[in-house]
Amino acid sequence: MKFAIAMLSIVAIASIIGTVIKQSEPYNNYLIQFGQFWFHIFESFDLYNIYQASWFLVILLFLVVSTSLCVSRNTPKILKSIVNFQGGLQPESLKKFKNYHEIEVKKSLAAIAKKIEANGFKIKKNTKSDLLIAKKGSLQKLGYIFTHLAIVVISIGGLLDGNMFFKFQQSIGSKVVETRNLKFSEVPLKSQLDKNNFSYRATLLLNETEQNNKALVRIKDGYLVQHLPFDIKLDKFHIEHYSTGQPKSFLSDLTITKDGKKYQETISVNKPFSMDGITIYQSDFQDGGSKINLSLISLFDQFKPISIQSQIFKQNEYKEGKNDYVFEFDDFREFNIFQIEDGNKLKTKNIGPSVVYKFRNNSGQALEYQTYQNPIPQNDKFFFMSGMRQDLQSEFRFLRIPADNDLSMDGYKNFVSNIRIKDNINKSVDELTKRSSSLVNAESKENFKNNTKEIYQIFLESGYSGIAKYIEDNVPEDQQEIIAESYIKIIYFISELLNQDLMNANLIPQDFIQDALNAYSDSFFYGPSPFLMLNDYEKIYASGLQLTKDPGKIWVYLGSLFLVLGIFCMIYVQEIRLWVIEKSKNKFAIAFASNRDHIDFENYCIDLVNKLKK
Amino acid sequence: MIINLSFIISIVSIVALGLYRFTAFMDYYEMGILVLGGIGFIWLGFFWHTFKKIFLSVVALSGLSIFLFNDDLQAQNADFFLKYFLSSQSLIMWMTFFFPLSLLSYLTFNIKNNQFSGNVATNFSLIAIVSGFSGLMVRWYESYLISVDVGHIPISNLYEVFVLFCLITGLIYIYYEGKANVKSLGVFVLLIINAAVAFILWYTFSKNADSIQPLVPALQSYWMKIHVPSNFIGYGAFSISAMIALAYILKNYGFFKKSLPSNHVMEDLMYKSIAIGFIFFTIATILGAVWAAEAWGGYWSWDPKETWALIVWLNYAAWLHLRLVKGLRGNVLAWWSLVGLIITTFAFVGVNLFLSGLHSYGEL
Ligand code: HEM
Repeated sequence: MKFAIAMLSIVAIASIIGTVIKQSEPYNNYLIQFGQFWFHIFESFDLYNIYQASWFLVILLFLVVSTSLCVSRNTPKILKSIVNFQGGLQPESLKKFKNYHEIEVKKSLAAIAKKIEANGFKIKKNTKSDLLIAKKGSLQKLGYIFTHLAIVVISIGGLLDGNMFFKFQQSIGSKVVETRNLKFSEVPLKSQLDKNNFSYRATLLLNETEQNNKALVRIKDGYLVQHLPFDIKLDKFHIEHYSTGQPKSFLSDLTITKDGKKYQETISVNKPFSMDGITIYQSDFQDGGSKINLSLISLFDQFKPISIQSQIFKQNEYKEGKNDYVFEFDDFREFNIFQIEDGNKLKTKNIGPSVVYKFRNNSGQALEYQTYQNPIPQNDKFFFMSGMRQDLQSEFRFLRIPADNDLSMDGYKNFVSNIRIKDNINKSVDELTKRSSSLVNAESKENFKNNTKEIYQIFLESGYSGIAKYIEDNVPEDQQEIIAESYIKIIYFISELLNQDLMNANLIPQDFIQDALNAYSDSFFYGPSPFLMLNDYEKIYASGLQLTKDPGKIWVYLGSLFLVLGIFCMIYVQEIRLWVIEKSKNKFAIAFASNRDHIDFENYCIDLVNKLKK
Repeated sequence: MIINLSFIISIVSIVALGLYRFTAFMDYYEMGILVLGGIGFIWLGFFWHTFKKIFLSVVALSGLSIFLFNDDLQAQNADFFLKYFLSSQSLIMWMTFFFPLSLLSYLTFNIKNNQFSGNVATNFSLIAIVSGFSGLMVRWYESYLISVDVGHIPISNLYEVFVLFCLITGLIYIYYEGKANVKSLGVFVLLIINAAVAFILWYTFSKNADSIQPLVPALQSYWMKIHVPSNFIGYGAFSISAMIALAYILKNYGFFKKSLPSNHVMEDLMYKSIAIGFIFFTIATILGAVWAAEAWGGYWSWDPKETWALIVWLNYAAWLHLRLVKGLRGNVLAWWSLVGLIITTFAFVGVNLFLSGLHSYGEL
């Protein structure tokens, strides 16, 4: 018992560790998280896959053995005590019982025995003495057998479905875990599992219209290939949505071919399909190589879009001047569900498709981008959004290009070309100079003009950060703030003059100029990628299936049933023994005993005694 | 007599109505749950009389509310009674109003030993329980008014299960109070209920958590209807035993010596609530495994929530062993059950807060 408790404590502690350290991540993540030193120490204890660790399994085995021993040791005793009555009490010793009563009724011992029997007791027959022995609630003791046997059965069921057999094969060297990234057909035989394998939990990722008869079993940082007794083809994957846009259901239409026979089945989350002891679950989905049609828009040049066709998981070359780049398209999401503020309430909304891609230069460095197709509402305005990040750990920083009144990008396109037209810039600066009443003589006017042109040019070439740098280098510290403010005003004023046509034609919403200036300035941080407009697409899904073969499950369920029954018996059935002796005519002494003392028990005894009195 | 009759009639007619009118919304399992649930409630009513009154009050309140709604969700802004009393949000707010009042009255009872405030406290708790359960019932109905495919039983996110926790804990306590006459423990049990109430209020006002959201695909299963309630009977019962343990420990340090029940009674109640909790928690964990086998492709995946359920289970199994096998009593078990509450709380909320896993609902 002590041993069992010690083992149980270890299981509990190991389990806790397993919930604190996220299990079965790629090993690289652990290396980053813990550093070289601890990574290897933790690895040697299998802390990344604790529940599959050999030492953990050994402890579980010990528990099974110790509980089995406990059951086998106790069961004969218990069975005996269920069959046997404890007799042999001396009438005198009854008095020593905690629950001892004496009553006086005009009844025979036999009549009392009848009454006791009517209350669910079994009476020991053919006793020679005038001692009446009775008991009830033997189920309580059976409860012990039920629960503890249940634990053994559950553990064995669980071990059956674990990968013990593979571990054995691995230890004698007949199987090895594959860690290289190989095609299924190239995986060596030693890392393949027969289709008659006893139990497994394998995953299979199928693109739409793809077919396969092998699945993947993940083990630690590697995998094994599991042969299946049938072919599975994904005909179509679909997502059903609620009216708010949130996903309601993920479904895969499958065709399963076995021995030339075809079975068509649709599975979804919570609705798996079973065949030949293998159950197929909907467990995951991702992009399966959607086709996309894009326009690339350079953010600084005159917006001559280049159009390209591509596909997710494909790469496209891109030349810009002397530089070679590659687009690597990683993901396409048709639905992006966000909580959007609407008034002062949060509303769930689908904001439409997005593309995730990397933009890699010829020395191999890459930036990651996520670009949304549709303009996204923010405080009654709409923006084309594209996020960029340097590495996977950091958050996306978004470039927000304001949409015009037609929700198109044309407004911004015109804006960017307007603010660069040399003649108009000069005219605007003249206009600005004219309006500045504080400039009196010709020289100060000329100075102002030159200065303004310079500032504006800096903005065109490097955005607000260029202005900030210019101020830092040229303006005394105590005036920087005021000067900065006036520069920003100047830039705004000129841009507004330059975009009169847009404003007059009512093409752009309020605040557009300000938002567009911000977007223009932010473009300098956006990185080398052109802005990407998604024109149209054909969504192709890949569905992640899980294939489970778990012959131990039935034992686990059976054990669970016994466990519940057993606990119920043990806790809610009270074993009671009682003795009655006729002390003299119509005078009886009654003693009760139970292996548990509850308050209820005392009350029960008093109740029963009162019944006997009647 | 009238109560018995209306109790049975209302249960039978609710079950019949469900089977007859809402057949299209249920699969066979759900019909089974409905029928068995009805039988279970009838049994519970005859096992414990107060339950009948609570049940009938809930039926009356939610029936009235549904009548006033008249299948129009906008009615909750237009109708005075719905707006302030009978919409699910208001009913749950009334629950969060009466539980603190009940706590104060129990406290008065303990300090002044004033029988009147004791009775008031019990009634406040009953009012809170009735409005809370009615709130959940109406919320269930409202979810279908949002859209038929959004409709679902309101035990699907952290907000809803916290309400459920308050109600079940309250219900179990009221039962023990009536049976063992232990009003002086009320203040302790109400302490933990009000901690949950505080959380509900914070969650409602700072996170807008009370809005009804549609179910994610993983939760769309009849299993939820039995797995979650049995889990919360477990959590509720464990919490009660921990709060009794707190009273027990305080008493042994000399506090509330006069008002608290005898050690023997408190030990017994601690045992009883752990026992009932243990049964339901075992069932809940098993049902969880069966559900996981259907939804995730394996009955046991060592997901953090599963693992912590196992730890909670082992902890109380050890507690029961100590009491039943070793015959242990007293302070050790009391402390143990108090520590058990920390473990249980972590399994209930901590896992959602700090660990990620397949049980992804209810993040903060
Ligand atoms: C499901 C919850 C459990 C309950 C309610 C429970 C209850 C009990 C009870 C009442 C006894 C005493 C039996 C008697 O002598 O009459 C006992 C003994 C014992 N239990 Fe459990 N038990 C449970 C789970 C476990 C578990 C998980 C283990 C460990 C794997 C375990 C191991 C033992 C051992 C080793 C004994 C002592 C046997 C001996 O040496 O006499 N039990 N248990």
